[in-house]
Amino acid sequence: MKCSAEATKILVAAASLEENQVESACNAWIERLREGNKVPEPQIARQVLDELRKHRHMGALKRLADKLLRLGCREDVVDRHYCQALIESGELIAAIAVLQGLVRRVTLGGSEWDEAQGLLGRAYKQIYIDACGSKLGMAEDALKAAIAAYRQVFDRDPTQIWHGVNLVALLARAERDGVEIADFPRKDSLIEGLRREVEQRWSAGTLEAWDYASAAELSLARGDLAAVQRWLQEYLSAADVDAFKIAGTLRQFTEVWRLRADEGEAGAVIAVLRAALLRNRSGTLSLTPQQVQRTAEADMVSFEKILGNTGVQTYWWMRAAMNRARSVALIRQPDGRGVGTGFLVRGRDLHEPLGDELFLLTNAHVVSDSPEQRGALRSDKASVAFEATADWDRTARRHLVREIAWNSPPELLDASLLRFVEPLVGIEPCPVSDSLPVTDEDQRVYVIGHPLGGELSFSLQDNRLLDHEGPTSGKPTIAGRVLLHYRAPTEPGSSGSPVFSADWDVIGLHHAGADFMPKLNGKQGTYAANEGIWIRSIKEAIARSFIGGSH
Amino acid sequence: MAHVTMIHGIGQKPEEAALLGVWRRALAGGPQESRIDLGAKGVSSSMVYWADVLYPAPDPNVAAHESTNELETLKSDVGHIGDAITVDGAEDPVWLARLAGRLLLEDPALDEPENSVGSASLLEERFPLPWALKQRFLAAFLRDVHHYLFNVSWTPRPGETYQVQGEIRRRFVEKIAAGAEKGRPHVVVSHSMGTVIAYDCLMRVPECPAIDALVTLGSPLGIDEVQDKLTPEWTRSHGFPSEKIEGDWVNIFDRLDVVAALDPELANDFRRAGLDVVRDLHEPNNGLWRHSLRKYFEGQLFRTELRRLLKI
Repeated sequence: MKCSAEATKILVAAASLEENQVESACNAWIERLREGNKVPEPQIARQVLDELRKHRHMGALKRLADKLLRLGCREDVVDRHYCQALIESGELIAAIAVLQGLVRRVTLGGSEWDEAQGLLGRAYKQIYIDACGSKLGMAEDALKAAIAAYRQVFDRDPTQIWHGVNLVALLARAERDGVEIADFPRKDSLIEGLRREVEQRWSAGTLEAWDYASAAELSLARGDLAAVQRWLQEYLSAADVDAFKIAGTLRQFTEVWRLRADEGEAGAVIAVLRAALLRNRSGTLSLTPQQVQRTAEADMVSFEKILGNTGVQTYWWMRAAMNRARSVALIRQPDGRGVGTGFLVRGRDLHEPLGDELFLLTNAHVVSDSPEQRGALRSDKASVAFEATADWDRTARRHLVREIAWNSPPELLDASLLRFVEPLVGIEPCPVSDSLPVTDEDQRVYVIGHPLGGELSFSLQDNRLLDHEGPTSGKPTIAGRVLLHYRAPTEPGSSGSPVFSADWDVIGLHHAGADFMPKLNGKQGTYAANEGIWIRSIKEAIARSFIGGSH
Repeated sequence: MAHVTMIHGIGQKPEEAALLGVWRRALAGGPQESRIDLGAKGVSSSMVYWADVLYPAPDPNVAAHESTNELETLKSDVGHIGDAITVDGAEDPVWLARLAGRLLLEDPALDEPENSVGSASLLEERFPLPWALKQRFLAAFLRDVHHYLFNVSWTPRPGETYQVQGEIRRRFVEKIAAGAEKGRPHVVVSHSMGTVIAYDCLMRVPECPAIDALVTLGSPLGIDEVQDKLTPEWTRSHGFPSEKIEGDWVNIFDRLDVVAALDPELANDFRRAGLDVVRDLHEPNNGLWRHSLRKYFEGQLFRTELRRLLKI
């Protein structure tokens, strides 16, 4: 098997996390296949699709699989990846339709049939989970269909751990939700059989990362917390664990088993998985305000037991992340729609004479009173809510803005410093650092925001710091404005979000992202990157403006 | 921005990049208020790596060097020390015998301190190290420090022979010069025998560039036998490398650290123009293995001092 140059480019681009390069490499490959009137060899198609999935390029995976099918590529693996991408993007009905066709077509009991049945189970399971207990529509039937899909495989082959564990999880869930499953297999004997299978494979040394996660889930079903922690320790230190897998495990533990991070040592495994995902290269974490609160209150013991020597450190790190999220606010327009993100800072951290008053820093293209800044929300129309500080049963308090204490237009520092009508109490401001991380040690920066003004979810993204114009070797293109570039793996948006160092100090104000961002410091070319303004540039501009007497 | 050059102590270590990672992570560990993530603070860092000059291969067990099991790192350090030095094989048998005798007989975990009134160590629980482990550690220490101070010719691997002191000095000077290019302040953080190497180079190697500050952790520099081999450049009243350290020398020790305990305070031995200027700080570690780098790196006094010296 030999990859063409075009296919190889997709593999390289997938690992680089540059979405635009992934897309163009996929298009170039399809173009080449069309020109050559030849569909790819099955192994190559599988390798390319696997790689896109592994690095969570789900949009590109869906489009590439779609195009391969249209080219006449009749390999089952292409259908399967197409369905996987449809499920990941929430297109569950479409995924089920394609999977049902695939299940009928492939060899009964073959590996692709097993996989397709597993995905059918996954799609139906998601429909049930998304229904949130509603009796409307297909919710209960979806749970039954999911159980039936996993069971079809497991009844034929009881060594299929993944299907078996899903069966156990869904039977437990049905029991808890009072959904009656006809012809109910005995859960305990299922668990016992699976436990023996796991032990045999453990002794034979043939367990893979997914199996460790399944074994942890199985231990959860047995109520054996120590075993859950032991298996998760194996799982998170396995060589082939990646962000895609951790996200799947997290979803299973929270959505199916309904674990909550603040529920003692057992719940804290959720916080550990969240930390592992956020620390993973290309890790992105979406949390509701309540999940932020619960994760902040997680028990330290599970961190130590699962992560060993780095457990305590990771616990404090994750706790700091959650505390920072509490200082991040959603900015809404009068109709309640979110328009951007802002974060709380202490006045003196930006400019000494501003004292202890707390301000909100956001982008000028989000909030501005300047008539030249069209599209921005006027300050008297803006309301600010720190979503993660709300009690679980009520919405966050909305704070009104008195004025813009300082502003710099989008083409300069793209920043507005908002003063509140009433002083804020009970929310800690984000600490601000004057230092920039070094650029030659694979440093990470973290962005916390409400992507695209989303109301219910925080997005915490692990980004690799690509470059900056700061000391000692940076060359700012505009005097007094130092830019930072970092690579976000997924979600765009989050205008006005704080950019944190790995120490959780604010180092920048996020303001833009582009697929073809010109590189910094006179380097040639473009890359997919996000851009932030160094917080010290903002501090210096505020100081100059105050000394200049305009405030 | 600032730069930290680190230098490790005796024993087999993981390969250079892995060891540097271990040290960086050790410093970045702990509660948010005290952790120092050098890279995130814009502070670059590098390691003067010399384990391969004396040991045949890097320690593959990197995890042991981050272990919270306090003896695991020590076991990994001294698990494969190779041939120990004997008195007959030493360049100066009397010197070696004297040093070995003191290290073996004056066990800080067993002895009552001479001046125990008001001593913090009096309040601490004393645990002697398991004898076999202590013996192996001291064997490694004696051999490594001997080979360095006497510039022994040593073949760690077939086909590779070094003049130990010459090679390590060369590496130190090279890393210090590279660190100086990275930024200021430039702080050297040294542990155990690394403190002897750092001092030797700063005091006795004319071409060694100057630094802004020196931090020594768990240092054996107070031991008379070590000082004897640093003459004639070293004298008690003019022992401070004034030409090469532009700022402070901070020495942090645990009284029960087997290496530092013989004479933990350095100010009275490394004076500048007869004056005590080294800042000696007693920072009690805990448990059995008080010489542990990880424990020193977790110390609040150390972290406070390092922040001050780096101006972060």
